[in-house]
Amino acid sequence: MKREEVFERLNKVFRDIFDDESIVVTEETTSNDIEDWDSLEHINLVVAVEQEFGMKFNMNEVTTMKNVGEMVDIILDRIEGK
Amino acid sequence: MNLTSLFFLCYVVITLCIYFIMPKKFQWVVLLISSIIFLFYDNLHISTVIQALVILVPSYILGRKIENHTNTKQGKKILILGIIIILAQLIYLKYTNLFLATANHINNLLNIDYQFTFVQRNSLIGISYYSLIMIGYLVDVYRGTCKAEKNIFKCALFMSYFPILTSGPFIRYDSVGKQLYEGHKLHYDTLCRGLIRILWGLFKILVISQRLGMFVDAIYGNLEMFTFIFIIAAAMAFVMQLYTNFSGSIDVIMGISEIIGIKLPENFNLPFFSRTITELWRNWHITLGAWLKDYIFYPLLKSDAMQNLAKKCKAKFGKKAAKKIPMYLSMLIMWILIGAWHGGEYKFIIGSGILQFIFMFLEDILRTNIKKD
Repeated sequence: MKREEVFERLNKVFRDIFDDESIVVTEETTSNDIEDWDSLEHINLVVAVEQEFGMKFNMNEVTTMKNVGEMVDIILDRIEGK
Repeated sequence: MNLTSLFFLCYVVITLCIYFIMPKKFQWVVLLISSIIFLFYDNLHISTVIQALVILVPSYILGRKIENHTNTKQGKKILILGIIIILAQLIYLKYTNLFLATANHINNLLNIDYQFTFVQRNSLIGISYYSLIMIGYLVDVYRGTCKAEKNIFKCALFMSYFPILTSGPFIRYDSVGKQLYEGHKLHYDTLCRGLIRILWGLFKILVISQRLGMFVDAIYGNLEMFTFIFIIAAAMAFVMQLYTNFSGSIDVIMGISEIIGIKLPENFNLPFFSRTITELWRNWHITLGAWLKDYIFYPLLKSDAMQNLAKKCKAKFGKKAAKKIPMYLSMLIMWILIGAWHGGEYKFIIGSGILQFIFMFLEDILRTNIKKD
């Protein structure tokens, strides 16, 4: 799967979770850039991403990922079975 | 040992003098010996030594075992064993009377003429803190956030670092562990900053908190003599008394650590300038909140049980409810635990736990509805 495709699918997940069709995530997007992205919504987001890509984040990744770019790195690692 | 006593301050000065004249390689041993003396100073008994070992030995042995099985089922089993050992002791020491009180209530309800007698447990100072700190350590090793400590004495220092034993903050092995073991030189600027912080802390405790305490005690002790306005004033003063005492203690602890060269996580961020209850709790006892979030709230919310609940809620009540109901349930569990952390009595579970959950629940509902309008 290409990085662009992951971003495309992530955009759908973000828009669905935060109820905002205007969201476009980039490598640098963080919780500061999306108003409702607090620690509570973070877990909902993580679970929705897991369901979208059929993979699991471990709790260390959940609590330490700093931006969407890092999330994409983990997703690609998992999909490629690293 | 009281943080504001002259004896404690002399103890710190002696510890720091020995610490800084020691070669860097052995400085951590000074901290360890000082911490062990502090730990058992008021309460050296075979039972308290066992209490400390019941936390230290499993944390050390199981931590090393878990390290080879991070994020695996095998690792999880060992982790659960470690958590059960540490929690079982904590519950036995701190919450036996809560269970006995519950049993007595049930007996009353069922008209059974038997009342359990409450027990006195002799528990070691700070046991709630380092029980949770070592559970956090085991979880971090399991998650791969940090490596297990190979030296049991260094593990003992991480568990018992004396400044934090009375009031926290909660420390994490990956950020504080290494700082405890590496040597430090005394720097003029950190010495000044540390001393200023200690003085601020002492000012908050001795000048503000204790003075407010006199006012609060005078009113709380004779409620029938005072009018409503005075009682409200006393309640507000009590909050400030609590805050200045707690944050002042943290200032003393941070100041001592700063002089040593150890940076601890901040525990308060101007909580009374918060705009909402949620924000207030985010800025009050920050390290406890972060501990609960990382080790209880997130795993709970992400658990299969909560996700199944979310699916059921989605099918029955829609998408919003699927997000909110598991979140509220996890919050309620977390707040009950926060209440229990503050003390093994119902008044804490209700006042410092469930009541705060209700405030936050109402805040969230009102905010969502006001936003909609």
